[in-house]
Amino acid sequence: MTAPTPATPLIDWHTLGQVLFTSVVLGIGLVVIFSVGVYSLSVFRRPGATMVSRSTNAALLSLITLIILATGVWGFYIIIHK
Amino acid sequence: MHNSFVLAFVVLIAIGFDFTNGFHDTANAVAPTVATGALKPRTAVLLSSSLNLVGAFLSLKVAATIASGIVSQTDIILPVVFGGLIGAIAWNVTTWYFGIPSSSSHALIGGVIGAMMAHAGGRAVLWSGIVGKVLAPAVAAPIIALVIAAIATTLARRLTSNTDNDTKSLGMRVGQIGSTSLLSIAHGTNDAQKTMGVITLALIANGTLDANSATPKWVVVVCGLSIAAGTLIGGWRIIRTMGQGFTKLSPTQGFAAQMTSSVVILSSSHFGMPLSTTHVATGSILGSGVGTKKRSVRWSLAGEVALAWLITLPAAAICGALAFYGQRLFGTSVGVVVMSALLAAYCTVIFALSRKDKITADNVNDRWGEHGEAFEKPAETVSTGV
Repeated sequence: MTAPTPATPLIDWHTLGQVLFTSVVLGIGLVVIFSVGVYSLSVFRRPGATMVSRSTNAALLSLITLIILATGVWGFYIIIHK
Repeated sequence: MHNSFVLAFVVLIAIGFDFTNGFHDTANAVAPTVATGALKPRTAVLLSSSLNLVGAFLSLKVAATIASGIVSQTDIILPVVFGGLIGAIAWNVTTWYFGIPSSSSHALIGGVIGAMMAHAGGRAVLWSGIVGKVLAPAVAAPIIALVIAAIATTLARRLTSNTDNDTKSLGMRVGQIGSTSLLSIAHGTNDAQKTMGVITLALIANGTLDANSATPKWVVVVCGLSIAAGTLIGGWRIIRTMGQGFTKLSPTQGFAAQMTSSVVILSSSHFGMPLSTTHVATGSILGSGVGTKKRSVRWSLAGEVALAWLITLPAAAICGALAFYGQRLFGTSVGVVVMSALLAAYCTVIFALSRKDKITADNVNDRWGEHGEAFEKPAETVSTGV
């Protein structure tokens, strides 16, 4: 049986904190960004939307799609290289 | 020790564990997708199975360790690995029958701890490692996922409140399919490698491979196919619990839950603190229920699942210890045959019992309570639309 020593803490709070922080920022951030994208798509598809509104929402949608795709690639990278 | 007969049984049982791991953990990736109708049940399982197979081949950085930092690696012998696998399969099959989402990794760790204690006593178990690598993450994972999913669901619901239902449904479906895919690949990589590690270790322990040898190609192929086949079978009983039992999921909730699971699992992998996919996925689904207007969650069911998590380690350890003592009683070579036969008989009985109330792709989304489940009204009253 090994007893915990100061050099090897029982629980790695530092790593746990990193996981928590990253998960909160990315988890909530991505869901919010995606939801804005869904709203933007809804406005884009709305009958009677002006050209300015369509263009603005199309640009926003493109940006959000890029962010989501980039995050997917990041996830894929982690899976392969961890 | 060179014993090709025992080694063959260890490899066979490890492949069997990989198979149970596949169908036991299918729910982690597909339950919300199935429950919200983002994909048809069979399509979701086929997608997950295919990506599990892809995931198994993506990364081959297999450490030839089993329960590293939890049991003394120098004391591991083939019968300990065998006992650990028997314990893990027995617990996986039992929890599957009851539709309980429990961690296959914890079952394997518990099985190995039990077999190791039977072999070398408590001195061979690194108790501090159990606290730091198993218990603390087991407590942290569902809480982190629950809180994030609850906040994410609340924000997603508010941000899309003025969105037309068709667009919202389409958007959330696409999001769910994407996150399901990512989770399935991650599961194939993580869990198939776990079994690859077990088999590689067994080959090294038997002297078939040199220490530090790379995992043979056939091991990679067999493990990938085994976990994919298990996933394809579809652990419908657990999918039902996770998709229908905890809360009634809307597409928005399903998306928030799966995105949360993906991010927490990948972040924990990135920082080298592996969290149980099952615990994270369960926490995310509970959190998505908390994030609804009515906070609709069947907490009694969540409590039962938490209790199962608590006893996973000791229960699998008891099974692992019994398997180790059993094989010792009959002599190693005869013992592995007897214990394997007993496990096969137990699995057959459980399978036969499960046929009395079959849960399949056709009835997995039936209203909660229609298959003898304890019915608790509040979660049925949820009405969040899409």
